[in-house]
Amino acid sequence: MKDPYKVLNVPRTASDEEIKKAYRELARKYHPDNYAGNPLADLVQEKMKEVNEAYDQIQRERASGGSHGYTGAGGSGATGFAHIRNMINMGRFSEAELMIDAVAQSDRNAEWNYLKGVVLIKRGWYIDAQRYLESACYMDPDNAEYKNTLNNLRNSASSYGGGYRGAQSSISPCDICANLICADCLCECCGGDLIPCC
Amino acid sequence: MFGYIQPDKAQLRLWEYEQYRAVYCGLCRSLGKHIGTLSRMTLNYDYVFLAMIRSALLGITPDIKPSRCAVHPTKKRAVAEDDKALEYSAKVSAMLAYYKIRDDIADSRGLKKLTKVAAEPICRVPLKRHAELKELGERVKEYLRELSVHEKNNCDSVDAVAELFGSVMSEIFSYGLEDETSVRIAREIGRHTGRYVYLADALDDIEKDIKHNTYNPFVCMYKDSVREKKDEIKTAVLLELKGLEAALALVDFSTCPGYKNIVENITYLGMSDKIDKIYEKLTK
Repeated sequence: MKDPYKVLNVPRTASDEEIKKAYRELARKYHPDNYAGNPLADLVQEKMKEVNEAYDQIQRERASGGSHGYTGAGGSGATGFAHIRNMINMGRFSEAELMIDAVAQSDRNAEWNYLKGVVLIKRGWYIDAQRYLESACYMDPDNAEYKNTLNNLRNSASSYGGGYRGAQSSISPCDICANLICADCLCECCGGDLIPCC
Repeated sequence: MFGYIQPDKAQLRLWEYEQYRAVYCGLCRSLGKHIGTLSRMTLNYDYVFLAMIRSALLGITPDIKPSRCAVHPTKKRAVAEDDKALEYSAKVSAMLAYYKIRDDIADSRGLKKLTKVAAEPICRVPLKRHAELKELGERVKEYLRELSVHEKNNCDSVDAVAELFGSVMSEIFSYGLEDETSVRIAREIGRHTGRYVYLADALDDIEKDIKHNTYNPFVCMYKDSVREKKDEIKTAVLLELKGLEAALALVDFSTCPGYKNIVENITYLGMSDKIDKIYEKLTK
């Protein structure tokens, strides 16, 4: 199954409103009316189905769990910290954080690190959040929930720029230096000097 | 493909423009490598569109790097490294350039004919080396032959003549693709592109053809009232672009996401802009 966010061409961090908008645009683009009598009508039907499924999946995930994270953070594997998860799901982060910090050092397992990371994301402390999420992943490498949250955090950083980034830069630092040195040589030939130290 | 498939440059982002040019430079190099140095002069910007569509349909990730070339020795420019899509597009451009020259030899006289005869082997000789294109060449030649028969007989159905050129492009866009879905999408893109090019070209030439009394499908069809039918003609061409848009929406650009905007710019802005310009010229 394809990543539903990729199908709708939106970042994971997109708001519900943005997702709805992207979905509407695609639905308009692949609307059967546009392909009436078109020889590619069957392909479009498949595409439309894919878009519908992706939208449904995102809706389901967002309704069932945390705000981001498309494998449904919140709930499933909850064992020892169910009450903290409940707090987080209700959006009461500062209370959740107090409860997290109250946990004894000896009980701080992978899940604890994970929840701490989640709360830190909410606070906007992304460096610390990554550290805790990494510990969670390190302590329990098979847990998809931990891994996804960490990946989502990193992905949302790499998708920064709303599609404006992704260009290949054609000038390397080496080129800049080489060009400067050339320019300096030329200047010196004429009696001037661009880079005084060489 | 004759200058009707180009982007609206002002609406491209700078890096998109750079990629666009990188593909053009890549095509030029590919021509030099597979066909011959002189053939590089025959290239035009229209083939960038073909190369980009083929890249997407073949699932190729372009490798764009800064490099120097003899034509622009002073500055390093972004150039797309040769790949299957570029190689194919370059060879096809040489093939069509060769057919065009052959056509011109038949149509021209005197000194002009002599220069064309001299230029003819540039593409013909190296093309013989590429046996994999033989079948495509046969099919294209057959459609072009049929097209010239229609033109000689003063065919008065614009759609029938345009369809033949659509078939030429349909073969070109889809030739050698393996996956059945890709073939269908490519055929559809090619068909509408070819029809659009033919219609735009015929529309562009109305005044010239009336003056020189040469064949023009619109003039044949509408006779003296051709100038009054301009709006009708324009609508038909824009509908052609609608068909192209519908087919393009199915192309998966995930291996070359940068090309998506460029291709869309070419079809949504470049092509319709071209039609507007031709139309304005006629209205004057």
